[in-house]
Amino acid sequence: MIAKKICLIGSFAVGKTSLVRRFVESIFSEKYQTTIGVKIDKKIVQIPSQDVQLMIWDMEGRDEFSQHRTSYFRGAAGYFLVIDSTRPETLEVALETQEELQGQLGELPFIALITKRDLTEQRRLDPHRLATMEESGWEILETSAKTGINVERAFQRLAEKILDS
Amino acid sequence: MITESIFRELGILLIRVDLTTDNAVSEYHHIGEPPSWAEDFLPSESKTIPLTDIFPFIESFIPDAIACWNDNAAEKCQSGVWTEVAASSVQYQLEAQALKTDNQYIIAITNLTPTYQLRQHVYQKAREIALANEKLKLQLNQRQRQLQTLIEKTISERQSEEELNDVVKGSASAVMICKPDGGVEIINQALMDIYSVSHENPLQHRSLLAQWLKEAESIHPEIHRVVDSGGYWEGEFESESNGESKWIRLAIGPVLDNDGGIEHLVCIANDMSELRKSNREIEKLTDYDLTTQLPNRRHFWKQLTKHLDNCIRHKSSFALIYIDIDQFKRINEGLGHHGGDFLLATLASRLSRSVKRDDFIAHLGGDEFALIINMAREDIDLGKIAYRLMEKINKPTLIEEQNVSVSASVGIAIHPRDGRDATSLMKNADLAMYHAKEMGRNQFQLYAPHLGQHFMGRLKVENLLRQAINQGQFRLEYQPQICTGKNPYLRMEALIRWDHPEEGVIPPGQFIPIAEENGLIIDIGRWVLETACRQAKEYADTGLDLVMSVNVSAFQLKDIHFPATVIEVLSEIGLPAKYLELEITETTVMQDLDKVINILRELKKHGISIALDDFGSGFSSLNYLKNLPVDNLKLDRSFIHELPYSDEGKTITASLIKLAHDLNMKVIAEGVENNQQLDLLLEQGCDYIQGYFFYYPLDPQKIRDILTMLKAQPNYSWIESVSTTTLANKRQN
Repeated sequence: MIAKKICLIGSFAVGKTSLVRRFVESIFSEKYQTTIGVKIDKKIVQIPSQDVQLMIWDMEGRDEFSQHRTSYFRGAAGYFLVIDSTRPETLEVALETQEELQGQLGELPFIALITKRDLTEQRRLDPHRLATMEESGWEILETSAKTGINVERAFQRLAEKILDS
Repeated sequence: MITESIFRELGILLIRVDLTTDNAVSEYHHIGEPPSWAEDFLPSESKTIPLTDIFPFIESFIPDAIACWNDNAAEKCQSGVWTEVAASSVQYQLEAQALKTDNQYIIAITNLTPTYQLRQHVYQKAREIALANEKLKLQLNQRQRQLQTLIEKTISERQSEEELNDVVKGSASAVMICKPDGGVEIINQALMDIYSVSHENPLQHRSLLAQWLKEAESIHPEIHRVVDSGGYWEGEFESESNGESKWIRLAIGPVLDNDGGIEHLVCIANDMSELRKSNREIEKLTDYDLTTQLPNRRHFWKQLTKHLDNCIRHKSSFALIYIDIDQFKRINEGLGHHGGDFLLATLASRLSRSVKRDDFIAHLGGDEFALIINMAREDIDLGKIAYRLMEKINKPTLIEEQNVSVSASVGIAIHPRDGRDATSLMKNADLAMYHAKEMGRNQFQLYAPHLGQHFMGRLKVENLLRQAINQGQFRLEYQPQICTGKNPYLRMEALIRWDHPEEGVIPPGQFIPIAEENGLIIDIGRWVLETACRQAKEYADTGLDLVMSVNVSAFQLKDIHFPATVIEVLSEIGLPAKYLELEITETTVMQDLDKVINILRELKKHGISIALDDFGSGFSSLNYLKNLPVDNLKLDRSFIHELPYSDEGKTITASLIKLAHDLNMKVIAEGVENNQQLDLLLEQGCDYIQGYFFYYPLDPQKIRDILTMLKAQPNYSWIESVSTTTLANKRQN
């Protein structure tokens, strides 16, 4: 079976670990638990052409305390840029990160995940900016680790994009 | 000395990586016995580890490691922390380091799990505060913009001044509406509160815009351009108010006239000082150790780098003192973690009180502390400082009604003499500290270049040892033990020798301690046992009854399967058990008396005899002796060495021989080198004599020659082979 490494990256507390836990273990917890360094999980996704084992690298959120290393992305076949729908600042971080990664890794398949879709009242992202990003070719999915919406789909889509690339 | 056992104790798994000529990884081997956590990951049988299968994370790290190994200037590189889930579902937090030493490529994997929770807690707290601040700031910005829009709308719609005043005065944010030249039109109470200005002094108001533009300019150089061109500007900067510094978030928005000229400026300010303060709290959380409240490792590195820069600029010097509490792990296990933490906090407080204000002390984690001592004068007595620190540590601490005393080993490196960068200084202070530990703990050591060479030499022996067994570089020599009475058996002790093809003869004293520390003693011990038994069998097959004495290390005795291994060897070789004697040291016995007694009983049940080596050298009570299933006592050579000139020595040997005989044990004196020693030992009734006076350790062929010669004589005996009449005379008497 083919194995692919994917990374989840974004600001701290955007819900990267929650997405992975929902996807791998079908669990969700409201409690925020910060990640230090990297945690690697595995899960097989079935896409029409074949099964793919995803090696999911859940990375520590980006902030002044975290130390992101180039090595973390080595061998990655694709990545998720994770953005918190309630924190516009996290969109800025995602944009900066995408620019950096593109410089480092070249054109790799990626998907921007807007998390916490269930918190509709607290949504603060500028829809125009998101539209512009989509126009420039970004694939954006709105997810909720709490309800599970689009979580499976996100991983499935990234696997498909990786195999198509 | 950094040895494998220390690595194991620290929970560090050492992996040697073999590279192909084109810099690809060909093989991985773990060095020494892996720490217990690693057993959760490593395969139980194979010694070659497909490391990247076990730790997928490592695959990404390897290219960095190779770059580091190929760069002679780089000393080590770290992988960063990762979480790995073992087959047992237990999660481990690990970190890898690439090191190159003695042309060996090493990956050291450290298990950070024991301290991870604390680190996680700190980062969690810091990020929770940062998250709360971020949300607060977001709300503030929204309110600020809404207000801005409302005020601009009110002005541009030419609503009454009264209405405008209502909007401005009712705002919690500080508001000032002014002309483009700074002339104040409206100002609210919130702004006057921040800047302590009054309605009565309009000049103070006028200067505010200019003050802001000037203050913000240093970090926001675009402010003039944006404001002058009628744009909207917002940002944060440090602003002075009556001698007090405040962090202000300011938004300046223009109200334009019909021609597009700036008619008014709406300035909305918020005092962010409290939020900034909580950011400093975050910094404090991540920079200080929670147990001791001292600066932590992260903080220490920042300080060390700063200190280095300063010293390089001012051509001054400083000392880096590295302190490691001796056997803290044992103390922690005994006292429990709360007790251990209390002890660390007490030591931290004592240490911080004993350094000067300009010096810097940090708790690097676990049982390690580090100090940066300014050396204003070159003749500053670092030894005196080290003693003072050690004294503070030695002072007893009352924990749960017990007085607990600890000691510490201290290593010192001086900048720039012992290192010009932070890593070299730390490495050298650490080497010095390990040297102090190896010299018996509770002492200090200044770094000297030979420590590094000594360390490298030791590492070299460790590496050579691994090949020695496979390449057949060991051999045994045998030293006869002469019976002073009429024992039908000949006896000899098997002694290991290592002939290295390039290094020459490496004495046992140099490699046995290393083999004991890295666990290789198990393989070496088995080889010695098999070889000696095979030799004894060969002699026995030629009709020579001979007891072969083989040394057993503490490490071997820790293995509950040891008796089974011995029996297996005897049965494979076909040597009757009565021809084998195992020698164990007094210190080995005392490490775990009950367990050792059980093992010895098991061995004796099969007919193997036991000798207690180095007897009298330990600190143990004689009381334990009566319970030990031992046949022979070997008097420590230090007693024999003093004979016959020391009266105390004579009394001790006589008493020990009598004690052994009363307990139905025989006595072997080793290290007998002259006639006088022999006379005295015979007088005292010693049963066996071993030493250069009779025979040096000999190779099997020489022993065979002697035995053949003796066998050819009627009533052969060792004694007749000795060219002294003393022993024969004594026997006749």
